[in-house]
Amino acid sequence: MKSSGRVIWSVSQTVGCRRIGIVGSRHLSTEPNIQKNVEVGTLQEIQMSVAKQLNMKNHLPSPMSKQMETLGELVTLIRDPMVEIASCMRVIDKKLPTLRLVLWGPFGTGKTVTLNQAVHHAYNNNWAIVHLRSAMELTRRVKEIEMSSFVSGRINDPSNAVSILQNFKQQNQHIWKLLGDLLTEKDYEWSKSERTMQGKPITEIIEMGITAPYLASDCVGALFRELRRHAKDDKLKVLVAVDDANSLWGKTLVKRADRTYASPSDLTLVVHFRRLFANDWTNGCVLMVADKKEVSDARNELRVSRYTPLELFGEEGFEYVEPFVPIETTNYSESETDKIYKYYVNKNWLASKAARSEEGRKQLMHLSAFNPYYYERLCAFN
Amino acid sequence: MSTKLARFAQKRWISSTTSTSNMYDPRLFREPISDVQELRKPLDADDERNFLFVKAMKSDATPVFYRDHVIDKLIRVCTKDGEKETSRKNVLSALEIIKRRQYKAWAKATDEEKQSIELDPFVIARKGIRNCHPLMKLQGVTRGGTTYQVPFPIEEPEAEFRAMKMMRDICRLRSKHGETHFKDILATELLAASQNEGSTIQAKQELHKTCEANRAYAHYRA
Amino acid sequence: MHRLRLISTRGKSTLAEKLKSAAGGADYGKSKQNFASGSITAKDERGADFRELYVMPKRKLRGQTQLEQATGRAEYKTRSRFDIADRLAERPPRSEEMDPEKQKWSDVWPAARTFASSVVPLPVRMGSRPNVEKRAPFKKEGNLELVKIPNFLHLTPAAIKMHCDAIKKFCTPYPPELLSKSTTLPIQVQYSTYIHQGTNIRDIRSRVVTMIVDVESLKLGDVAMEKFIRLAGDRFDEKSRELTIVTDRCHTRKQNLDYAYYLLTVLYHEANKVEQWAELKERSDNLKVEFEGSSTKTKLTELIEKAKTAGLATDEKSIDEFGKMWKEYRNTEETVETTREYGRQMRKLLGI
Repeated sequence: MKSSGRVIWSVSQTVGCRRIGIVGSRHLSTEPNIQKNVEVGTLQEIQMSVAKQLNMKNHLPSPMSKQMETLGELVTLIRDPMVEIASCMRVIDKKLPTLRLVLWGPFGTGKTVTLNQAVHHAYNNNWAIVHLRSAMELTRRVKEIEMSSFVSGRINDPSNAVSILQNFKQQNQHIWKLLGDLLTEKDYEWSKSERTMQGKPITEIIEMGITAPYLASDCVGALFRELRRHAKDDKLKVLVAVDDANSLWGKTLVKRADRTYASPSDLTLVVHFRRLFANDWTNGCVLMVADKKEVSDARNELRVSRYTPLELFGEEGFEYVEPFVPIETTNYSESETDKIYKYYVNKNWLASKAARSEEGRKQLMHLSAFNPYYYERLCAFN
Repeated sequence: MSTKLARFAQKRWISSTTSTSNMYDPRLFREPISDVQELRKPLDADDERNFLFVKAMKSDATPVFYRDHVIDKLIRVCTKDGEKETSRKNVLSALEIIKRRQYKAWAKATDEEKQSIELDPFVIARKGIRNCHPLMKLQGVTRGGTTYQVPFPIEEPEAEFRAMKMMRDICRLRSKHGETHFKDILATELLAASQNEGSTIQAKQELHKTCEANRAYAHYRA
Repeated sequence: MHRLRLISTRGKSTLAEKLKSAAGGADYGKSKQNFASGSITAKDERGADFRELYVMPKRKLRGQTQLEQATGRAEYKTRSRFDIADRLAERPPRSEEMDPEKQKWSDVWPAARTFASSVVPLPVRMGSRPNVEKRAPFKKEGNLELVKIPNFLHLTPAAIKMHCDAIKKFCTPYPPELLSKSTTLPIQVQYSTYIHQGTNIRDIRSRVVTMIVDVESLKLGDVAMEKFIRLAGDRFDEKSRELTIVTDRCHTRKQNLDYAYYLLTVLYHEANKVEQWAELKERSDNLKVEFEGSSTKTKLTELIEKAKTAGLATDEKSIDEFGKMWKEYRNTEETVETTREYGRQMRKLLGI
């Protein structure tokens, strides 16, 4: 399997291409928990129960999760970047260092949606999932802070740490039993009274963090450490999916005691996530999204920032995450818009007569300039 | 700062009527054709546009397939401080909310009920506004130093405008920043009006009642 | 002289005679004289003059004449203007008498002068007026607007050609060495001289000197070159490897030129100096990001080693190619295309 990653990639490409030609109507592939080829141009349905477990409602962009709620199902289009991610995930091996993939592309072309598809793919293959909704939450939306007792000068963020652990617990219910079998490497002394002994299941760390928020930040670190170790031992495979990952090297709004802004490397959670990106562990895949919202300033209309990885990660971040494979997300092609259009028509989502006409189909395509986000927005009220 | 200035400059001040002169010299410029079908036909030989300049198309006259007279007018009526884009966003999201509500109801309904549920938000909005058209208006007339509220008959376009204005005023009154949004209330109001319910319909009936009460003043109309 | 002669010839012309007679020039007032000298004798017996009784003037009153003229019994008497003689003495505009094919324009208008409507035979019109659509611009006669603007009527192509031909004998041929492109001289000096229509021969801009130096021919070492580039700042163009010094702070061109040479000399010697603190330079202080010795390279070689053991079809040789691309990617402005190229090379390297 691992040696033929390249071959499979190319085959799935050609198959996908052929299918675009033949397939006119929607065809769904809904078998869960089976390692399967991800085909370009298919509409993939993620079952609602799975979506609920993976907390898609929070992780997807808001229009998409609203759509999920309205239509009562979650159907996404498999596009080239997803196929590439799947083929990269296929070659992951215990000898191979983690593959780092960076999703980049203009606004609204599906970076976050692709990330969620990858998470679903990992779920199907029984991987462990570490999924962060937005790295910006760790740097810009810190509600309460505590000074770390573990390393002096570090700043803990209990509320975000708890939510990370809770999210981890919710998303990994499919392998919860397996995680329960994995044991800790050493004694963790959280505080004077709380400690986790060597040889306890790592789920205990999670439970500890959730019940005691003031320990949660350290628990996140310990959990990631254990995950890396077990991945190295080939006990499980790990997908780390971080949205807006470039924010880990961006600005923070956390203030120190002397009222200066803390640098991101002072934040415990940021440091833990950066360690996941490091090169020193195997059997995992790190999927990052480089997003413009870190650098773009809503009040500055004159500056148009680039959406390319070096610009967004900055020199420091870029050198940290290198070597990585940049994966570009692009606007829809004509056949892709057609697929979405047909799906909406079949679901009776396009309600007005004008939108269902041939003229409407063409105008939708060109008014949105083939941008997936604007396409959805236009379809929303027609 | 610059953006604020730019916005400041965009707003139209004081004047409540259309401007008498603009950047288009009336001797040199003619109205554009905004209908696509019309545009594809050749121009008449004696059409002045053959040799004169044509004005740029207005942003709300673009020939998109969802162009709708009522919705455009509603957007214009709801505009505040010259921020038409904001108003456009509000009205279109209200349409989206209507559609989502109807779609959820439609998905739950049985096959017979599905026939009766209208999904097209444009149709609902049109019907809602149509239902809110008042039949008369009240206008102050001063006779002998006293101002009487006299009922007057109104034309169709004005009735439409007054319906929209009533609805807009009600929605503005209720929307509180951060708690309830204009678009949500507008959506609720349009949906209710399409079924002859809601506060706008009530306001219309109230108006009719007052007109009836002030019937005695009708002779002041001249 | 010219004028006088003209008048005399005009005075002899028959047309002038006729006009004079028409104006009653020759026998004007003859009958009146006769009458006064007593050619009509009317005396009484006492020898006293016959004095007529004045009833009304003998001539017709103006009202009478007008009445007669109005009723057609008398004819209108046309009189020429009182200043006809003066008017005839004036010369008509010269431009009307010109024959553009026979005369030489450069003789008529040899040097720069203000516009003269009587000389220029062109129907030029100029001027703003309140109602543009109704009226044409004002004609050239007495038009001050035309006088105000500078004109170049002395610089017709024919006149220029004539001038060029005249000064040709003073010119030497352009040095043929400079024509061939292979010999680029290391230092180019550019300045401009300004000539005006007016009397002033000075122009403030003529002092500016631009010196363009080909830096390669300075033969600087690597360290010196880097220092040179840092010192030169944005005067150094990396693409063409040229240094451009613009000097304009002194009053004369010569001073500025000297200053430019001074600057170049100082730059050269300063670049060749090695200070003590220069040894403190670290990798991060480099002008450019280098692939050799970067953390990326170590990480990549490590990764490739591991990938080989894991069984991926990696391409070790392409690491040099990747390094070249990487260096360019890091040191130039990032674009979408370069990022795509980066991804392509990375995939090739990892064999994905």
